[in-house]
Amino acid sequence: MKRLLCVLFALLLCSSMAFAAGEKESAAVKPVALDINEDGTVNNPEAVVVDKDKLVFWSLFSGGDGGFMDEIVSEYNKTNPPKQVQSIMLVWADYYTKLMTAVAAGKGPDIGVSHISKLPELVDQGVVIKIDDYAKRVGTDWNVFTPEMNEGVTFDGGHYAMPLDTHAEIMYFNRDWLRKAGISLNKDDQLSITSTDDFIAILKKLQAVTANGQSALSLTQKGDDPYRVWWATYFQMGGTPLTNEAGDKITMDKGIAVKAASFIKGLYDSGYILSGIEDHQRFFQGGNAGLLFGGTWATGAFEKTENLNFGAQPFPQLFANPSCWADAHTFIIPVKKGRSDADTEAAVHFINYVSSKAAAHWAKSGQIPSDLTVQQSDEYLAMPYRSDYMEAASTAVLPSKNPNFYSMKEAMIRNLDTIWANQVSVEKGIENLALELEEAIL
Amino acid sequence: MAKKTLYHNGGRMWFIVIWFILPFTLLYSVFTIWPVIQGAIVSLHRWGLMGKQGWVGLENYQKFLGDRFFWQAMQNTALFVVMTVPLLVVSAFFLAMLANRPSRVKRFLRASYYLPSILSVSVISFITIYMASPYMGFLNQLLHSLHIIPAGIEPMWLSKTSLVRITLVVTTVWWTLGFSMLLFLSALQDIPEQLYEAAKIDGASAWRVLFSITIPILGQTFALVTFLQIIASFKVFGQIYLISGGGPGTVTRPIIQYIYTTAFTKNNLGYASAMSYALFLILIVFSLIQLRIQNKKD
Repeated sequence: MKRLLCVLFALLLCSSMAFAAGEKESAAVKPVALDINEDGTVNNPEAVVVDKDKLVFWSLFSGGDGGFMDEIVSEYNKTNPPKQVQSIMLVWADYYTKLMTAVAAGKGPDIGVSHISKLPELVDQGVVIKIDDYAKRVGTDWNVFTPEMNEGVTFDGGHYAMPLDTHAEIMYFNRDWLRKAGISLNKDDQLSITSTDDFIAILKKLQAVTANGQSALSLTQKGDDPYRVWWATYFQMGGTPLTNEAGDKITMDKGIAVKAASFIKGLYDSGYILSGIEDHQRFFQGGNAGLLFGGTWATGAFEKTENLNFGAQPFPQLFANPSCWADAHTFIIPVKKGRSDADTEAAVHFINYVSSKAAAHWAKSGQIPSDLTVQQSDEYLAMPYRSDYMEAASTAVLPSKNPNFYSMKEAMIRNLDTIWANQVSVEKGIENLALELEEAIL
Repeated sequence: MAKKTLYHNGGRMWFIVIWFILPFTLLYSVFTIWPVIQGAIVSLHRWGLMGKQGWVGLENYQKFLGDRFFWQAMQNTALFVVMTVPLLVVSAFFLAMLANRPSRVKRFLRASYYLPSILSVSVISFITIYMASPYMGFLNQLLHSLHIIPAGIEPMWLSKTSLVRITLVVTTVWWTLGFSMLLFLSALQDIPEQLYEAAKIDGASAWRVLFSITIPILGQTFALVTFLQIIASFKVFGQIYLISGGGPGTVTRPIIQYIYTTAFTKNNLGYASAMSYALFLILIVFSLIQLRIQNKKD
């Protein structure tokens, strides 16, 4: 009797496992619920049911930019293209993690976006394909892009991405503030700044009319934006590239790095920047600051803001060189087993369309289109503000072409933050920064 | 009678036995044994997110020998072990002694000493961050209101190197001593009452009882707890990552965090695997020492 019970119990255990497995199978057949945020971005894009006859495009553009890209996609679909495109908006913060893991699992999209700073890592990891053959078939002229852009997307003699735009850190000014402070604009309708003295003089005048809770210059005290201003300052002072050609040695000039960081720290310490600003773009948008160091993408938002009389110009040249910070968006075609040749060509056809024919439409977002013919077109030049800062694209120092750049950037931002927060001296902060850069490229 | 049946029906018995152990064996092989083998394979290649990228043999192993960030992380971890284990062992023993005293709140005390252990690492990390924050944190406000530190001074428990280390050690001890305390407690309860009575008759003071009777008898338990905690402390990651991020800079970064960022931020899984095998080796050495001590026991 006891033995019989033993056998029955064992059978029960095993069959319950079989049942459990069965449950899972039936669950897989049911469609997975989509996890969509308020602004329309999808958290689990690989679960989106995609039309088999359409190409899947994972877009990292949300907010205002996302709106323009969606318009471009629907316009493209109306032109009777080789294949229709379905666009899925992802949250920007973990876009690359999602993209890389999805492609590794074979569930990636047909078209993706990559910052030119992330591209070396994607190419190194084998996530994207070379597009030269397809680009030739759809008639891409690589010469419409600047040599720097071409260089940035070329690896081992082949193009691995199609440039879309350059987005730089530029300077915005509030005309009402300038008037109040008695600062006049030059004949190009821009602030005339050719040295630090000019710049500090303007800041002093703005500071004189700053009320409580306002700031002469709008900038956050940690994160990407002070880092971008440091980047611009470092290269303006004549700083050497951060790594050598091969990418295995750090060649940053520590002395200049210290000088650049000290200059910016000085701006905080002198009170030109209100401490603790969380969202500096919004702060400026609310009319609380005279100047803003912000991205070109702010233009679209500012245009729609009532009562904001602003102007835009490239990042001012305060030192020897006219450098500034910029990154670029490019289109990539991720690796996907089983995608037909025709489909890949259709995907390249789409990205070629957006980079060339739809580039002027994309410029509405404020970014500077990479296609030089578009940059020089009447349509683009007629747009307000944009032609005021388009030269930023040519003076910009793009991020190092290194597969570990994102680790480097993270190390730089983290250590610069400790400097702005007064946790370490400028020299020690740059020491730590240089050390972590060495680790990042290991 | 039953024993005879067992041996005579050896085959039948095994048939039943296998069905009982099969589920566990299967899961254990797939999720524990296989990854160990796979990890060794990965460590001999250059391995990225998308898979194998080429054979490199023992290059990854040579790499970490010369990698000063690896050694810095090892040093940080070793320092953490040296600071945490003695404190943990002593505190756990002390609390076990307290929990062993006859008292009306004995059960409550035992439960409350153990309670922090059931919290997850994220919870205790955020509790620590909240308590130890400068200006608004509980700890600094308490120290200021008790006038233990003057009003102008603000200890940076979370950002000054020497203080962060203390914060991390104290958090870890508070969180994990529950388990060690239980080990000591059960060992304490095994000590025969006669020994204490005899000592009392002989007129021994409490301290003599402690050092001549209690601690020697608990020798095995002390060794066990020490080695378990050494091994566990070498594997520290969660609370350090969440509380200090390995910072400021990299001064508190433990070896597991370095392995983690190498693997998942720099997509260098081959090198990360090699480093984790180095750690594995160290832990095996400590485990073997511990087993030898265990086997020499009563």
